[in-house]
Amino acid sequence: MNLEELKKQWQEQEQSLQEMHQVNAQLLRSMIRQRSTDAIGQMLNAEYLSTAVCALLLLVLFCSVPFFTGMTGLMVAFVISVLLTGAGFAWNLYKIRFLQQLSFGNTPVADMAEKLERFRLMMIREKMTGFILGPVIMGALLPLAHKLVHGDNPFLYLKMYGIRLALGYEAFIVLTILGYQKFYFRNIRSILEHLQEIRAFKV
Amino acid sequence: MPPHSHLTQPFILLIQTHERIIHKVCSVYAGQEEDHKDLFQDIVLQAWKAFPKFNKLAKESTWLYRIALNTAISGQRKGAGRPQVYHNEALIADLPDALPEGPDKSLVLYRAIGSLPMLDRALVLLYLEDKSAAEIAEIMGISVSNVGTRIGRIKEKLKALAQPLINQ
Repeated sequence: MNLEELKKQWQEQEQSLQEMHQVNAQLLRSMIRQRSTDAIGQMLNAEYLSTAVCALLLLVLFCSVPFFTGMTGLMVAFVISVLLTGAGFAWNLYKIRFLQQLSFGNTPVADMAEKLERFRLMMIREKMTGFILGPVIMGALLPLAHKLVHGDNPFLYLKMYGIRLALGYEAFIVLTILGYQKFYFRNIRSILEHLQEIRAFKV
Repeated sequence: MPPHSHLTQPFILLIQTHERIIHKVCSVYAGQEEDHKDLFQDIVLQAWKAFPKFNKLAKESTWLYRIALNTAISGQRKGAGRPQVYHNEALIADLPDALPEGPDKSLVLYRAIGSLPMLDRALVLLYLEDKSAAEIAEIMGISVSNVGTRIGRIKEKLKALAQPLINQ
């Protein structure tokens, strides 16, 4: 049997398919009333949440400026925190805009597939950046949080914990790079292959 | 009152008219019966969300095919391009685990279709539906001439995929 013969068979069974599936109006009403979200909706919700977290953090940081003035170390930590959180906020807004523009009714299938692969690639690269910058932002936020909570100079404790923190961070970086090689770089390769396939499909 | 509630009735009518389109897409992209139901619901939800912006410039069936295929592909992000076991409960009743004695060639072909990359599967589905090259091009976002070329290549690919199964 070839595809032509299968096509005939497919057409002949059209009527029986129509009779087998008769979804009733009540069921459809309950389906569209449900608040469950699809794959894109779930991604959007996650982006809204992380944008809100970034916005809240920025608000707290700016409201706490008076506590940090006068100490150079704290101001440096403040600037790093604001820059990284602000960058995260802007990046989240970009992703939200990207996802909101995915119109299922108007985007052709091949274009949608390409956009989704591009988004997957973006997410993997974001995770890689996050792993590297995560400890930096934590290192900047911790002394600020300490100052806000305890009121004393957080850098007095640095001598006590500094070496251990530095060693821990180095170990973290090594493990992260090893992890990336095993999972993320392989994933990126496969996504790039898919993208190439999709682009070849469109030409 | 829920948003777009005045559109509920026309929407339900549209889905009931073209319901088989959704089932066919589910058959090609959902592996198990439970996945079929979930995907069906996802497609209905996506169509409902997009319905207020449906400008009727495109045919209803073209619009719904696009939504159904886009929903199916977006749900398969993690396994993109990695086909699931083909399961068409409506067209192939009681799909056996093993190939039957003296293999049913249509079953073999369905399985071969199930092992195609996701965009090729979409193209085959539209081809089996006897859509014109122009409509396939509109849904898929490729040129009309490319549709013919792609279908030709897929036929060759299917022949190569199905032959070892028939020989088993």
